[in-house]
Amino acid sequence: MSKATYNAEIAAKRWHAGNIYEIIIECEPLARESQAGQFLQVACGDDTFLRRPISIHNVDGSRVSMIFEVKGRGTRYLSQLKTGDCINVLGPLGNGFDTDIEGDVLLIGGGLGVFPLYMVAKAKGKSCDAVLGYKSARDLVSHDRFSAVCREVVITTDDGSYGIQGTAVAAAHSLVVNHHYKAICACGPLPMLKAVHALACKYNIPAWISLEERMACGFGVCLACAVKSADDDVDYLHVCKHGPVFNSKEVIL
Amino acid sequence: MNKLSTAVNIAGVEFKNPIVTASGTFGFGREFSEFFDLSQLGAVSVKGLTLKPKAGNPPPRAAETASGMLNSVGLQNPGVESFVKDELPFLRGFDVKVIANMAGTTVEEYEEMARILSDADVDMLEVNISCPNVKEGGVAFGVDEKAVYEVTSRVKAVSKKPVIIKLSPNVTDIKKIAKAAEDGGADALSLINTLLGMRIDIKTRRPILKNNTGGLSGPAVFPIAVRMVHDVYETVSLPIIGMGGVSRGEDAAELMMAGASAVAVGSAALVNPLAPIEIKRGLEKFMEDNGIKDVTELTGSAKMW
Repeated sequence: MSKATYNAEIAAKRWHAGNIYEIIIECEPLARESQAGQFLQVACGDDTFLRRPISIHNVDGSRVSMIFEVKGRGTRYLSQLKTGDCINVLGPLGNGFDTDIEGDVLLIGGGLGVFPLYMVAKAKGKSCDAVLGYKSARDLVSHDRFSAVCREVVITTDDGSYGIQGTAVAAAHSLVVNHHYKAICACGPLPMLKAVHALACKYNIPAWISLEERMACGFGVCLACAVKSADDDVDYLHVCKHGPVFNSKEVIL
Repeated sequence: MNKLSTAVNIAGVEFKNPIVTASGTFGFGREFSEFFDLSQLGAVSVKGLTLKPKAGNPPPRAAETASGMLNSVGLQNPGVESFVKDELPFLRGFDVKVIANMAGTTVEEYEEMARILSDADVDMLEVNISCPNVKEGGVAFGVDEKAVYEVTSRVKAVSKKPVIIKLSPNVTDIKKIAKAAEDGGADALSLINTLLGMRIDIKTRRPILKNNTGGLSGPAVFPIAVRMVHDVYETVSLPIIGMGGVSRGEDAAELMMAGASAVAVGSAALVNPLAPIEIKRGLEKFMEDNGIKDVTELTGSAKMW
């Protein structure tokens, strides 16, 4: 009996930008167990049946932070909660990023995919660089947190309103050719992850990517969140149980 | 406090309480064993097995609905032999009855699996003739009286374990299907499997599920389960394992009053992994609060107007 659900009090809630909010919950056992890249299944009120999978952004003492975008009823519900309200969470779930990798690591985050990388940045500190891609200057969230811990942080925006105009992976390319990274850790939209995989293959660097798929239980029983396996002997892997972080060579995107 | 009697007898197999996990929402027990002691349950019904390993359907395989969900997993499983070798020994480490759920594409496949599972250390067989997510087999057997009779009688002929036939709600008259299973020699019935449904993403104008359609489960289907369990209870004299949207102890009591001898918990456990245990405790509390000493008193106790 090692897994549990928790009724956790919201210690802080803040709006960041656009539809992006952060909720910090007080939950010591969860904080103790949580690792970079893992996620929580969050109950979102009576109008939703399924929990919503949300990645862990940070652990600070006994507090756990999640940053999420309002996409539907569940996340809307969460965005309207107040400090002092309680939410029921299940977790921590899944396999996260390995933060014990020796040597330098490159983080590549796109949009909401920036947030699950922060605990890797904290763990690796000055032995990691980060490329964080956003749509536009007004969408910049949490980049300053990365700047505070990483060696180098490169910001890209699709419209060029801040940092380098273009994709995160394009900017990552120039870092990769000038450094000897032992691994890439990435999270972001599917096209970005495909580009990360191609970049990693080209320079023969292991890439660890965090995936999303429509999920029901989050703990490996319903088999909903299937992702095609690259191993001929295995048809599907499951994001909640085998991931959400995979070696990019394990899966077919 | 007087001791409650919670044991129920399903076709000669005694469950220490009426709470069962529904096939397809429980895997083979490993994941749930991290949340609670599986020995607290009456029985577990494992993920639907096929003769050969099955990959399942392409994703997305799940979509939320009002008070429920659709799934189109498509019977992904490691196959019956792997179950017996790799999964069953773990489950046998708990004091809980094990129901092996199986689905075939031909009657011969059902027979073959019944033979294999009869020689394995399981307590009962549950014949899934009602999976809505596979193109052949599954529900194709469950919607036709003759086919139900045929598959039931042929599985019974080779089976050394009590046989439960799992019925589909996607039929015109479930009473006729239940009768066909009884005539075929079924030892018990379980119902309801999921109801066929569909959701469309209005931005892309594409179904959310890659399989287009999927099976609806969750609290949304509970009243349908109550009605169908009642209909079947009135029609046949077999014990019924009722299921469909049970989320609270009171739901379990209600489904038993409709005619169920045991109650399976499905989707509720996907949202709250402790749901089976909480439902068991809720049912016990209902018994205490209402002076019910023996849970079997509940079965079929609802009086129609």
